[in-house]
Amino acid sequence: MEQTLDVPRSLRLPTPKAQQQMDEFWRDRQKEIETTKDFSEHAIPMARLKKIASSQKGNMMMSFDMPAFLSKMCELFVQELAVRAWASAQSHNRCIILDTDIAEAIASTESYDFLVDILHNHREKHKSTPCSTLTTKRCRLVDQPSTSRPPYQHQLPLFAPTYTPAIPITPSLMPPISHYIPFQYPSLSQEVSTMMASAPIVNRSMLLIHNIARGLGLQGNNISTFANNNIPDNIIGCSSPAVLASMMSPALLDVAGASLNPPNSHSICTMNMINSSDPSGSSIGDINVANQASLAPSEHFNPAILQESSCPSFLYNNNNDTIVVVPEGVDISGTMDVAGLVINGQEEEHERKTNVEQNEIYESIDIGIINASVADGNKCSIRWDELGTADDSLLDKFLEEFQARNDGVLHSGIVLHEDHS
Amino acid sequence: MTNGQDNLLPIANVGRIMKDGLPPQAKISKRAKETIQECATEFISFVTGEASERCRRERRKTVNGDDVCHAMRSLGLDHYADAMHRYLQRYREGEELAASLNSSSSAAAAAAAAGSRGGGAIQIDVRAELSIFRSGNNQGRPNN
Repeated sequence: MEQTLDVPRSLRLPTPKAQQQMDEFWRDRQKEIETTKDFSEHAIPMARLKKIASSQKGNMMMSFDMPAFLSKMCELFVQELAVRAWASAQSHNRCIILDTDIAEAIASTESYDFLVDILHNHREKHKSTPCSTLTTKRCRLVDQPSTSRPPYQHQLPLFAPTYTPAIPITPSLMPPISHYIPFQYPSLSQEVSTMMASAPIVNRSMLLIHNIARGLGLQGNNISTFANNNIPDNIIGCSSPAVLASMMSPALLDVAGASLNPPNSHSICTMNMINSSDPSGSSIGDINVANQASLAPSEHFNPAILQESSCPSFLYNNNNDTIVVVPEGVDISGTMDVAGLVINGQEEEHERKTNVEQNEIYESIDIGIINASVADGNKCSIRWDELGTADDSLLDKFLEEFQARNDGVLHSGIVLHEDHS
Repeated sequence: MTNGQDNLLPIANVGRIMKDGLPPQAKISKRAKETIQECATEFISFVTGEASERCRRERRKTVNGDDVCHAMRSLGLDHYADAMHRYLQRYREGEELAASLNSSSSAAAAAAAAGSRGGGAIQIDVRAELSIFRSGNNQGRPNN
């Protein structure tokens, strides 16, 4: 005898159309059951069904008709859920059924409430992969601060140059030795600006400025005053190669003295790069920065530098001679008047773009510095001798480069490399 | 609770059953198949657990289709109970028809048929069948 179907629960069904679909589904299934001839055909393997059912029935035994019964029951369940999910997918104008459609079908059917926990566990399992990715990213972020080192605080050696200039210089053009060092960089950069790239790295330059500020102690104000009064002298001095040669000697000494570690030598190179684009303005800007740094408490230097190396904003000097903070993501590499910035990850890429001539010159300087560092031991006298040797050698090669500029870059480069090989 | 793929229904079978019930243009994402795979496994465990609990309360040792039908009805799965009840009737009709055909032949053929059908000893199989038949009659009376 056929039983009357229960009244459908229209309150929880999304649309009357879905209800009609389900009624049609069950009518079709009833017809299919009535017309079934072969009961040995099963949609689900018997062994798997027995294994799943056995996990719940304890010590109970199953009658001989149970596997086929469970197989048919499972088939009805899967098809009904698929039809409901298909209605959900169509309501979103999609031709593909997603797991969200399954969840929507289960949520709209009261008798399927026991499946809500299954859905929750299913989603948790699929969310584990993105979590591991986030963990990896966090590890990378944690590694960045540890790679940044505190600045190398080495006292700048202040001793007279050993090279005699070809043309004598009047005392009025030579500032006092105690205030002489900061002006070497803009002068040096003006002469060699044609060999340098236009995109210096500010972070390492700031590192150098801080080193200079510490070395000079409380003379920040004097530096600032002296800079404002003697700019014309710098311009006059730069026009003469001989004067430039004599002025470069302290610069090279600064390079050798201030940078026993390769990273600091890079900061010196970038320092010159900054001045190349706007020597006069950058000079004042740099000295202002040094002045500010010298006034800051010494305990705050390291955190500031660490923040600079990893902060989301960037520092650069513009034509107004002020330091401007640029939010991360702002593209200023195309600006002609602005010294471009390169973040830590892109430093190597930027350095590769510099011209061959510049690389060769500063590579020589680095080699000299490294040789001095290697020879340096616990004896101070040996260190000073090595520094002096490196200074003389580099100075000679640098002068030769200027005099033989017309001979070609490659030839000079070969000469430099031969001396250090 | 199910752990790993060994305790789940085969996903290929689940996918095929889904396609048979849907229009040709319907596509099913992989995660949808996995979701229904887990839901179907839980469905069988849940209903079978209810049915075995009822048998335990009635001091019976064997779970049969009637118990599962009754469990589904108590769980609010009336459509399933109705459809599976009819399926069970059709299934038993088929079995009885086969048995009646075999009974007309020799005793050896009957023994072979009984062995292939039940997979156990003749006596046990006959008794199980008789008990099912009686319980079926008992279940039929309240419904009528």
